[in-house]
Amino acid sequence: MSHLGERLSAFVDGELGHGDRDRVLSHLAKCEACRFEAEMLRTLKRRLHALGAPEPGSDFLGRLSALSGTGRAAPPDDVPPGPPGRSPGFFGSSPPLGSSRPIGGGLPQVSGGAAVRTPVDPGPPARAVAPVPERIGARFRSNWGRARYAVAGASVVAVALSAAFVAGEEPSDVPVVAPALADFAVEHAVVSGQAPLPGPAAIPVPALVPAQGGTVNAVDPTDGDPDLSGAVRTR
Amino acid sequence: MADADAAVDFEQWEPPSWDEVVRNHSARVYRLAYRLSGNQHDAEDLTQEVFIRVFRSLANYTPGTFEGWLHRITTNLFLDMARRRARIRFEGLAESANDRLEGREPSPAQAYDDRHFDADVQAALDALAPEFRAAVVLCDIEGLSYEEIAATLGVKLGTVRSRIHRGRAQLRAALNHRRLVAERAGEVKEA
Repeated sequence: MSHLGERLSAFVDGELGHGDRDRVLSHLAKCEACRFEAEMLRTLKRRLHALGAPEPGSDFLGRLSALSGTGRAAPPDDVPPGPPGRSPGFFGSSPPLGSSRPIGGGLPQVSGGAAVRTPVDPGPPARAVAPVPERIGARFRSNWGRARYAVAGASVVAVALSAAFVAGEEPSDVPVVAPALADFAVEHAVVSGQAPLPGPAAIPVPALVPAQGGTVNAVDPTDGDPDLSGAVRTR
Repeated sequence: MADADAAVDFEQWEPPSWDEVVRNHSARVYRLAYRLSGNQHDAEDLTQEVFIRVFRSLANYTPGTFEGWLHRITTNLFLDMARRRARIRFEGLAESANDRLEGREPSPAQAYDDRHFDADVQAALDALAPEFRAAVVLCDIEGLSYEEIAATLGVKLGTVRSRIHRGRAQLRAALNHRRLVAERAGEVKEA
């Protein structure tokens, strides 16, 4: 979109080194299009910066202050009156990605808090990974009946064990997962942002899915691929 | 031994009371949460999650590093939320999320009619992929340097630069698009 590409953004942000900045400046001096582009970027930046600062409501602040009262006694995911249909620990039960784990794990010594945290944090990774085999089992051998649960249970244990292994290592496994998800998020934004009919497309899906929903619902919906194809097919 | 150090520090320096922490930091966390999530409900959830974590680690409170840490938790919690929703929504299970989405994305004409100019920008922000949105919000709204953003997001400087650049390009495209659609809708209404 411009001759300078990313450097123009970095220039507008004042993030270029001397050499680069001089080069950009001399390019700008003779390139009308890039000057225009830079001006647009500045305008956008100003506009974003000028966004008002929404204030938290006083009720909400009260709830925050009250955290100190309940925090030690109650488990921390005893979180808030959300709307129905939304699990209470929606953010709190931390994700499989480990992106919030560095936060929890990064805190050196939480004296009283560690005990409180344990029920929440270690759980989800195991739960999150587990469904993969379980779902595959459910999908292809739904007539297995009870045996399915045994298989699922065994695989849960197996995955939990391997999760424990992974957890024991450095959190270096994170990057392996992250790019795929990032791509996926981008893809999703493209789909939802630019598809001209988010409404009509969105409505049939929830209507159809509950049919296969029994197992789907019971399982933490954290895995991607099988459902991806499923969802596409439903549409 | 770290405890001993901490004890010494604490003799000269009083750790803040919980009320102080809430008073001093809630507005900033909330603002960031709001700009990232795009609506009050999620902003409140997100802020509350952040403060639950703050509360747990209050013993480690160190002035100076605290703000960066808050940025980091808020942003990461937001990204977790966004990723999870992307998956859930794709499976068609999150009817509640769909409800919220509808509420959050007013029709273009509505958005244009909105008294708040802000609504347009926020809607365009919401349309960005979460990773791009986080980078742009941290840069342009929070005023962080690329280096600080890299630390906050745990990515390389080059990645920050590219996300900001691409995020802004998409933002501009979205704003232009919204304006065009709204203008067309306006013409229809007048006709």
